[in-house]
Amino acid sequence: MGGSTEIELTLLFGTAAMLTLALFIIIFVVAYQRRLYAKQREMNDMEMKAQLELMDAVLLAKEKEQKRMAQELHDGIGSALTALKMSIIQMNLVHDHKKQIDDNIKAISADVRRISNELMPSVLEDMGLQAALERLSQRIQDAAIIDCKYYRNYELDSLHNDQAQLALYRVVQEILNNIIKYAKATEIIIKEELKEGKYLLTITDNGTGFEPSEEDMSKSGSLGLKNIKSRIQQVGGTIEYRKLSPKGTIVNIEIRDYEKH
Amino acid sequence: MNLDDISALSILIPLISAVILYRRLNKTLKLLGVFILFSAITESLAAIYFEYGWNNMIISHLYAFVQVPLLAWIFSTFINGVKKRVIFILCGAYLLFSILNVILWEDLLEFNSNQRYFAAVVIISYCLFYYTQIFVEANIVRIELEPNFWISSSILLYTAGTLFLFIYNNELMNSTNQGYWNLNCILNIILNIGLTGSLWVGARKLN
Repeated sequence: MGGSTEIELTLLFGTAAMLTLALFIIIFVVAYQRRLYAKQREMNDMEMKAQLELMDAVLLAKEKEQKRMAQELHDGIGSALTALKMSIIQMNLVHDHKKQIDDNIKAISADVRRISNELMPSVLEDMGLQAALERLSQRIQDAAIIDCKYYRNYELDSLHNDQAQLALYRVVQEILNNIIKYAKATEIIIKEELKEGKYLLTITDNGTGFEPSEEDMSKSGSLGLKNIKSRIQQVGGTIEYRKLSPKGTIVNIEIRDYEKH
Repeated sequence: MNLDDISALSILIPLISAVILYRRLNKTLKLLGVFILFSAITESLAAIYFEYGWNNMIISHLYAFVQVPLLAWIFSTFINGVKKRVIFILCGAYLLFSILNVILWEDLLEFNSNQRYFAAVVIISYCLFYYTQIFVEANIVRIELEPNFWISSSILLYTAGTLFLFIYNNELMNSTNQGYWNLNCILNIILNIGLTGSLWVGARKLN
């Protein structure tokens, strides 16, 4: 009888201990796995943030270099061309030759101005994003390739800071280039809106339609798309491409806390 | 209907689930379905033997002999590297021991306590191998949606909880205390619910 009680006690404590241990192991696995996953996600976020910062730094350096080159072109070559023009005026040349050289200098000056402006649009610095986008759409319109219209539903001089304005301008520039190159569109509408506390920038075209997948966005070849994404992230916004039916594409850029940027 | 009957019938829940979900299951869960079917057949056979007053210990030997290789096969489908080899080595050692056990210590008409004890140690090791793999690989997002975790946890809980019961089975045969057998029934129900969970979670994950 005493043996039986001893066995029952061993069984009771043994079973209780084993069950507790098993439960402890299961709870530990669940809790530890959660912590491990959270830590890993944190590390991934940090890695992504570092990548984004690196991309930002590259873009910033590129902009700085473009600005320097634009200034160099404007001040250096522009001034040199003006000096050359003055020298030619004082030269004893046949009138026709003088005119021909003068025309060539004018053409070169216009090219230098155009390149300098593309590298760093002075209108953006002087008058802000709205004026720069208006000018950009006007230039496309004047080139008579595509009917390009620009609309906005607000009047503000400086909605974004200089860096955010430049980022948005570059994004629009890149998207318009893509439309001109690939979309076979005849019409483009650029629209800036302030709606329900959000800044919305939409670019619509009537071309063949384009909707990049996540895979397209991460392809090493699609540097333009990556740059666009990075610049939009830089200003704390989101971008969405949507194919329209029967044809065309709409690109929606949305910035929620636009006042911060 | 008493707790014994409920426990015995609870095997039908994962069995029916396995039949319904069979086409949507991966290799691991299909094997688990086979394991559940095998358990249901041996349990039914044991009940029939008992009903006719025959000694059903041979069924217990058969169950324990097939159970570990089947579980080794199941665990080897999701455990990688050296641990996978260890799974089969442990299984081989277990089978060898089972044969020696029948010849030397517990024949087919006696309860196989030694074999059950060895089986429990081997099965608990498999579960622990899986848990260590989770930490090493660290690629699971939500562990509660992981069918292999459901399989390992329900098997671990049942095996650990019944280990002492099987060791002292012969001594308990004459005991009037029903509490231990009720505990076995409860753990068996939990095991079957856990296995059912793994099947549904697995089927949902694969779809």
